[in-house]
Amino acid sequence: MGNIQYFDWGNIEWIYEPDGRSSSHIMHIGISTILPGKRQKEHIHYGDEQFLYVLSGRGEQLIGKKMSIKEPGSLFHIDAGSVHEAINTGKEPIKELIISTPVYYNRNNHLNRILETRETHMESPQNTIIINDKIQKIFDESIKILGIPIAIFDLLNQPVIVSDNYPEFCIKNCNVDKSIKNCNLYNINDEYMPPHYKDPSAFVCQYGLRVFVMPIIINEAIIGTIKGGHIRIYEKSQNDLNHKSNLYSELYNKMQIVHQGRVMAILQHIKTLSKNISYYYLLENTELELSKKEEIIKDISKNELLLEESLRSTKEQVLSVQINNHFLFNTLNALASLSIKDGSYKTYESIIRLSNILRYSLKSSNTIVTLNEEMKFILDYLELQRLRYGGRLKININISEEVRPIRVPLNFIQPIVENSFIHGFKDKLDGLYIEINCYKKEDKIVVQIEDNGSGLEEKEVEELNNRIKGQSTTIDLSGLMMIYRRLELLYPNRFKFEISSKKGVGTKVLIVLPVIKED
Amino acid sequence: MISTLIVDDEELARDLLKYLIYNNNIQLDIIGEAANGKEAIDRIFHLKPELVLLDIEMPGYDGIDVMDHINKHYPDPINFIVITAYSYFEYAQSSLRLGAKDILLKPVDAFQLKQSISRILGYKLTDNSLLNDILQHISVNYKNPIQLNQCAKEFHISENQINRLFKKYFNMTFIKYLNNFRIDKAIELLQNEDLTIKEIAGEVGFNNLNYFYKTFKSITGSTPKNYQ
Repeated sequence: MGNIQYFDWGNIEWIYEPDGRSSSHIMHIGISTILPGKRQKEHIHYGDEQFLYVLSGRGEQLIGKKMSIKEPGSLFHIDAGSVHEAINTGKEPIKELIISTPVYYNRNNHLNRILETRETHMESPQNTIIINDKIQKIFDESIKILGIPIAIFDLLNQPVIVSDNYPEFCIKNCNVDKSIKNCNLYNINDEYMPPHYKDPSAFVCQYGLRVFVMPIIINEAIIGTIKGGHIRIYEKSQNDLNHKSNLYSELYNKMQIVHQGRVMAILQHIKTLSKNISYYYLLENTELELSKKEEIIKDISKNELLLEESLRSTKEQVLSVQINNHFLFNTLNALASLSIKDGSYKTYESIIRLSNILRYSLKSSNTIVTLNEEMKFILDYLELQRLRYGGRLKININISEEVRPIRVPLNFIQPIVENSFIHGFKDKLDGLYIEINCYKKEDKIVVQIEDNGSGLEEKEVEELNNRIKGQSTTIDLSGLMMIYRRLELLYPNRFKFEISSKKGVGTKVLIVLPVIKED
Repeated sequence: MISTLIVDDEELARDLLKYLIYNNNIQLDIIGEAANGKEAIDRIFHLKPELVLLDIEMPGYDGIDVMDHINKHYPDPINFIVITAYSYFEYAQSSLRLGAKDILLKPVDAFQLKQSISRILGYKLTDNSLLNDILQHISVNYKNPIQLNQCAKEFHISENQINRLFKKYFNMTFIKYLNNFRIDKAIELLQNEDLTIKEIAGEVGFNNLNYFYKTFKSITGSTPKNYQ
């Protein structure tokens, strides 16, 4: 069974269709059935010539202006571009063999080949492409060239864009300015043409005006139609207009008769418009897919970067510490045991503190901890420093209870405290003093680290502040710089990090952080 | 006193736990030791400890294997506190899944050990062994009437001495501590058991329902109903 098309006048069963693989298979053969009393409206195929061979039934066949009798055995040849019309005047259906052949075949056209190879990369464009008014510009240009009224319809035969230059006759007589569908020709949903017909066709209205129909095709699928024209090809007998007033006939006569050459030019333009519209959507679709792919590629490379980074830090941890830390902590456990056995509780305590510090620094650097954990770590660190400095070191830590559970980045204080020992206390023999204050102030956490070390000159402080905050490209990432960068990542533009110092008096680091919302 | 088994393949590690327990008056009765997984299982079946301090990394049968075996073959519930040099999350996960009550990291910190034991005992351990004994007395007998004067007699000290201890360590009186303890238990029952409020009051040692309501309100600021 072939592909059957149903119309209000009957049907066509296509019994032979080209397979599309070979450019020499181009002929469509079908059996057309026109039911008794029915009529194929006046229409024109521009891309095909047709042969009709009547098998049974009786009726009339109009080709151009020539009327013939349809009866079994009669043969008709309809040239491309000829108006034709058929009426079943008999009592039984007319059955006829129809052979439709394209008059020219443009499959070898270079542009078409490009179009088709690109099409193969697309996934079901009929689902993704919907005709819309984005093509207004292409449309406007075509109207300028064509000078005839044209409208573009979507797949549901709804007008998407309609021009405003319809003939006065059509406006006054059929009210096409109110709705284009007031013209009967726009309500014909049937396509009097073989499936996948890529060429223009036309319908003729009762006043002899011609409306061209051109599908817009992407990837073998129709995405919409161009319909337009309203041109007068030949003299229509005045009789048809007799019942109308003189005004209408006047308007009708005002329409110029368009000669064949101009019709061919109009058809060419309509075809070009159809092509341009499909190119437009093809391009848009391709760009869309391209940008989607770009997005994916961007995502992938971003993830790769993150993955690489985490892999690198994991590797670092695994290689440098994790393999040994089982041994390390077990040994510390044994040492702790020995120290207690020897009655040295202080040694035991120090071993525990040292272990805590080691464990804390084993955590991945982008961990978020509570300020309480961070301060415990600082305390362990300072207590171990006190082992070395003894009574020479005084520590004063004040943490308000409300800031203890607040979440902060891991290890953002210790490097500052360490600086006091490395730089501040380098030449100081006695009376070392470190004070740390943590409190909440107006929804912000204030952390202040102060020492009474050697301090810095005004110029040095300025330089240091600039170096930490500047986008220095050098790989010299001092502890302070690392802290600043991490804070910047976590709280972009929402934190404060300030060093103030006075030579011979001491150094103060002030950090103000926003509170991270609990999740 | 909770009967306890200590399991670690290193002698010094076992010693450390014993020292920490003795030195900190932690109320554990160490009834045995084991130096590997197989031995641990053997001792558990023989000695029937209530608590096992269990090292994870041991040659052959490791701590995870021990817990797994006990879960499958030992009839009674046992408290495991797992001890490990690793701080791997995976270890923590599988230990807790097998019912470990807590995880301690090596080297074992006395403070952490005390906290962990307190959690199992249900009351806070102090460094005063007499007070610890009284606390244990409360945690065992809270369902029955407990009187300060009887308590004093039992532990051979004066009521004042007891109150002084409670003041020093908990900043509250003996009665206040007892009431807090009982109301905590009551809240636990309210949330987990399908009992009437009257039954719960009796369960935690309140014979007078009104007194239960009054005490509950003064401690929690709310009514028992709100906790149900």
